[in-house]
Amino acid sequence: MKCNYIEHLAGRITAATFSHESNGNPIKVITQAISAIDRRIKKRFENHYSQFEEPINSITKSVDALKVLAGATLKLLAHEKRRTGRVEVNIVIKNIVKTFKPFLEGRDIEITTDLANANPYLRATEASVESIITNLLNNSINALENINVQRKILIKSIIQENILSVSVADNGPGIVGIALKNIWLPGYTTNPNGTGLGLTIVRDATFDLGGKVRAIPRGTLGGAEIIVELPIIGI
Amino acid sequence: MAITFLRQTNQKRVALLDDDDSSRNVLKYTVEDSALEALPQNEGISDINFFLSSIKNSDAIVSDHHLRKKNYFPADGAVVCSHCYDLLIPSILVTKWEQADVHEIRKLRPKIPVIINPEDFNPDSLIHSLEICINEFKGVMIPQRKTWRTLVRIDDLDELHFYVIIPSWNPNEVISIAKKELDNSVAQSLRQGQRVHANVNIEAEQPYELFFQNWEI
Repeated sequence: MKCNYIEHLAGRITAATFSHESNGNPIKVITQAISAIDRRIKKRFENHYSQFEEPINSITKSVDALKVLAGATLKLLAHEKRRTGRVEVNIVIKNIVKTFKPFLEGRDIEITTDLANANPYLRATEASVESIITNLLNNSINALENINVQRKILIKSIIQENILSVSVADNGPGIVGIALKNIWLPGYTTNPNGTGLGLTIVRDATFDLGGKVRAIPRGTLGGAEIIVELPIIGI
Repeated sequence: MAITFLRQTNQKRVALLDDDDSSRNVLKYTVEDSALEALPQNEGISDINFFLSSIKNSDAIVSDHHLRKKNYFPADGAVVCSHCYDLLIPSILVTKWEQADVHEIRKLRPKIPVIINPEDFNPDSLIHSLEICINEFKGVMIPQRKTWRTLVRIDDLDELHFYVIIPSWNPNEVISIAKKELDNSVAQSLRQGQRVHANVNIEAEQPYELFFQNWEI
């Protein structure tokens, strides 16, 4: 298990390195070059612009998706996020949804949030809360890969006394082909491209924050629903 | 859009610094599309003073921050821009904001009027940025750059950083300041929980645009 974590960490470092590089010059050059092409065509070939508009938009959209992938990795590894302090969970959720939005749109996934009408916070590192939410989101994205109806994810937060309950639900196939108790174990996954570490990280990060986690095979949206309960210190 | 440079010449020339050939080229397109003349610095430079003496022939400069990945330039773009400020040459730093860069740049920020994300660099933003620089040389600062004496609370610290709160900017947001950003005497005096005064541009819209001057310990 320790070995899996080390491999996972090494993978993240490599991903961060390449994200940093790709997010630098290549993306910058493509973005500015396509803007220059767009400007110059508009100015010099105004009557023929419609012929170029679609391919230019295709490039722009693809580059935006690349930026999300590269930027998200870097954001998640920011030094400040590993400092213990006040973490406002609803804000973390909103930021993650904002970061993932273009990526989700590219996969025709509709994401909805229904967050508690307050500002629940706990003392933690932002990275730990982010790792819980992003791993759950990632799980749902993978679960929706072969779904032919409108793909949906719902992130909900509810405050019950001093506990914040955060659930991530999707309308995928639910938890099938794996025993419920095994989904938390490292290396157990039904996704051939998965690491099987996502839910293990969710479980461990939740425990580290003094919380609890449980799964419902067929939840609110008909697919899997994972509910994380975290003790909060204020709202 | 017309712009009045401090230097009255017919051809308005903008020097371009970037250690990557392709990146330098795309900067050139934007400058050209702004009806300005682009002067890309294609050769590497070993002496910053030589560059600064030659740059006086330019009306403005646009530079990337990271110039040292190759053997292209002996200093970072932020340093070049701050020197240009002293020479009253409008300079724009075009760079992606990453946390490491924020710590590197913030100390020089009083002398860097404009930093633009490459994605936002276009003819309109270029001309607008040049105007900001020129107005600042004339003593007119945009509100986001104007500093005010204000309270700064040292919320936390670790080996390398102070984490501060500026109540008049945002009482809920913690700003990290690398110790290396501060003068030694200031860095050694600050303690957790301490409340001190400093001049801060509290109308900055983003945390990475904040800068601190005149710490009163």
